[in-house]
Amino acid sequence: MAAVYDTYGSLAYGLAARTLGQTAEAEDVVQEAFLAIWRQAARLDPARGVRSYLLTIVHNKAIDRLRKRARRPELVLDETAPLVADAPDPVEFAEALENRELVRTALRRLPEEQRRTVEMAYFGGLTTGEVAEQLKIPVGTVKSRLRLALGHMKRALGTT
Amino acid sequence: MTIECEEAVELLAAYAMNRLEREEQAAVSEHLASCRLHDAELAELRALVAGLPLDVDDVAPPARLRSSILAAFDGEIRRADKPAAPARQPRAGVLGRLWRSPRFAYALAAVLAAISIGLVVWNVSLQSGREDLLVRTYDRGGMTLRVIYLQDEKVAILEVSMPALRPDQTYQAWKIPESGAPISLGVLESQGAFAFDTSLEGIKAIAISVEPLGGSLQPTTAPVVVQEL
Repeated sequence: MAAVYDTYGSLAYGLAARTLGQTAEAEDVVQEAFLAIWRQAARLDPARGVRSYLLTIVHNKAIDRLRKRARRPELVLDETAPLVADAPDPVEFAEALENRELVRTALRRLPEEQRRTVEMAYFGGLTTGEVAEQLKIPVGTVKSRLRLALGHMKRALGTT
Repeated sequence: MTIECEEAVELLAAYAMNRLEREEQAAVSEHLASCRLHDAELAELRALVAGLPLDVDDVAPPARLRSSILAAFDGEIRRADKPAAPARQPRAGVLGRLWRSPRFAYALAAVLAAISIGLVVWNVSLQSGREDLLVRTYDRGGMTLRVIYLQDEKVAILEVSMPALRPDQTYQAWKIPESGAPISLGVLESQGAFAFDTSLEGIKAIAISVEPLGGSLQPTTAPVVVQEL
């Protein structure tokens, strides 16, 4: 556990802090996520790696707390998505997705309105309707921006 | 609320991100349950979403967090290692020996937490002579595997003793179903007992193969151990 923490602690805390700030809540989230990883050890799909599970759990827990703080209703988490590998084959760009710099570059190159929408929805934990309300744009536009953003990201990673 | 393919495609990215409104999220799930056309795209989108956290900067956490996590971790192990006031000690034999093995304590704690079996229930089961216990042993060519399956709790414990592998290799255990492809149980070290929260219903054998470090989605080599159940 110490080795896993020393490898991923700063990344996990960075993710929690991006959503919750450098607060005691962010620390709680990281602690809960590390213990959850350990408890789930026998169920984890080794092909997906610890990092991916850990970050998904940190993110979900951080968003959960953020929404509670803002008195927004809890998001319904898709239980099948984070911890069960449902893809029959790894996606073509799986290797590029492992490369942090490539992912960051792909995100930085998104058109500003798409990047902002991903930022608000994913890191801000807002639903498409809530993003639409804040940006005062139609909810359909938010949905297509998310679709276009992930499409851009996929092409950027697929061509590397 | 029901939706058709065209709408599902529009919503899939927000769905993979889990950011649709509750009702829409449910409608997409319902559509996906009956329409397999979106499986590949959804897998790609989920992989992309899982990559989004990599955009954050590392932030060094306060030193107290490390000690706090390690203390909590130790607490979990201790709880697994010292079950609350059993009326008498667990029986000797396979389970008794396993019980005292530190590695088993780790594995057991994982299982206990994962499937929420109370330690009290566990103890009562141990003392009651357990009729739901399936034990199979393989011992050939320097490879030993003991499969202990607690049918009621759907917990499989694999106790292995096998030759050490190269650093870039790992042992991986598989469930071999009556029909269909092997199902990964997970990676194993060469020695120790490993518990899995899994059902062996409809499984005809447990196999172990040598795989690249990190394991494989499907076996890439012939199994070194196959034990029928």
